[in-house]
Amino acid sequence: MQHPNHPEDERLAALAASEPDALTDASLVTHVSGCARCAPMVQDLRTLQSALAGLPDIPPSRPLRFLPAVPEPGSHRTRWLGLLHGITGPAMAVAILLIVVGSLGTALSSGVGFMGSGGAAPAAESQGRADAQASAAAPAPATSQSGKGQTAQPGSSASPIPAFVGRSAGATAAPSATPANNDRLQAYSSNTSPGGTGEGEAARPPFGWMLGSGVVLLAAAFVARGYVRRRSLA
Amino acid sequence: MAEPDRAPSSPRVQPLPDEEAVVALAVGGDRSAFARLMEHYQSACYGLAWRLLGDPDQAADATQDAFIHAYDALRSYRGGIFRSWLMRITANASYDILRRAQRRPTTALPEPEEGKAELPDIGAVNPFEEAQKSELYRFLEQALRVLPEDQRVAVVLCDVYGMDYGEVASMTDSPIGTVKSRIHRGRLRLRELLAPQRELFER
Repeated sequence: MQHPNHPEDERLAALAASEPDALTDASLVTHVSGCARCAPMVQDLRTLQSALAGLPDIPPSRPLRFLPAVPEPGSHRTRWLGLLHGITGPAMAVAILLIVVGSLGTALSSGVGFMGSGGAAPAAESQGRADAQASAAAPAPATSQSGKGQTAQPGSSASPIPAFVGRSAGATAAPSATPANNDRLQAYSSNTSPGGTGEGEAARPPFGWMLGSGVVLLAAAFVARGYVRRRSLA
Repeated sequence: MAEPDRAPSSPRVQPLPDEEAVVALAVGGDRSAFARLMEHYQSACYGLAWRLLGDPDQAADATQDAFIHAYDALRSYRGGIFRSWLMRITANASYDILRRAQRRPTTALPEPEEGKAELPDIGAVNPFEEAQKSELYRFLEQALRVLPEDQRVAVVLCDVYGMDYGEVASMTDSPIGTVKSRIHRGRLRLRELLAPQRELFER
């Protein structure tokens, strides 16, 4: 409640609490010392503070535990928690490995593209690389010559076509008829249905799966570790 | 209300005679020393929690939480008054419960009606305490419960447990000016509430 001609009540409370800014406020101190309303109020507030400081402690309403429980060594619970705690470390390591390999594999397969280019990609890529090396070693012949027949015969060693062109040619056209490539092609054909796309999906390493499994495993390991810690303190 | 001749004799737990040694043992991992400290200060911790929360069960929960936190934090204890350190932990544990209750309005504490607050049997703390002093305490506790929560927390921490404005401000995430204002308004309101019991203060 505010009264005219009197300081604000909060200023009086500040004075009662001996706050420096109130104690050094000469007009406030002078007023209070001679005011029949404000002086008792300040006195009351000081008495009240003193009484509050004297309030007693209170015994708890129910028995309390003073210590976190420590299970008996060798008990079933201890063994279970110990086992769980022991598993979480290696699980975290495996999870991190899966995440790293999965992330790198996913990034490489989407960035470079050879992972998703089908089962014939390795042969075609090595073919393209060989083509590029050959073209670098021997200067390209006349343009009219280089454009003929090379794409139809990706096995030719004198191709001036850059590596990526050779790769795509190898992926779409029949691979070179070397014995090794024939064996590889037969192996793919025996395992999967015919068709380039289906073979490529079957052969691709499961990087996405590894990444997902790693994340799930890591989360589970963290949860298990937290559980062990909470149970140890419960 | 006049200034009493002497400060009310405080039936509060005093430090253990060999407290420094007991605390050192507890910090070193001696569980029985830690248990001894908690047993000794349980009434102090519970009293603070009860005054902040106003509910016996929640106060017991907060005190129990405080003991667990204290056990975890013991290795980081860097000396000082052990009781003050423990009371800060208890105040934080209690204030956490208050904040959770504020976030879930359905479980918020009902504001007690004036004069109808459920109070612990303070007289039982010290059976030899004079009846009038017990009555004074009872009225004080009732009046505290009538205060708005922000004022009650500030007044309890500052006036009952002697924390300074800075500690209260950091505990309640409030500016110091706001804390001061809450304390002043809380004291003024308490004075109004206790005006009918003025004679208890004059004795």
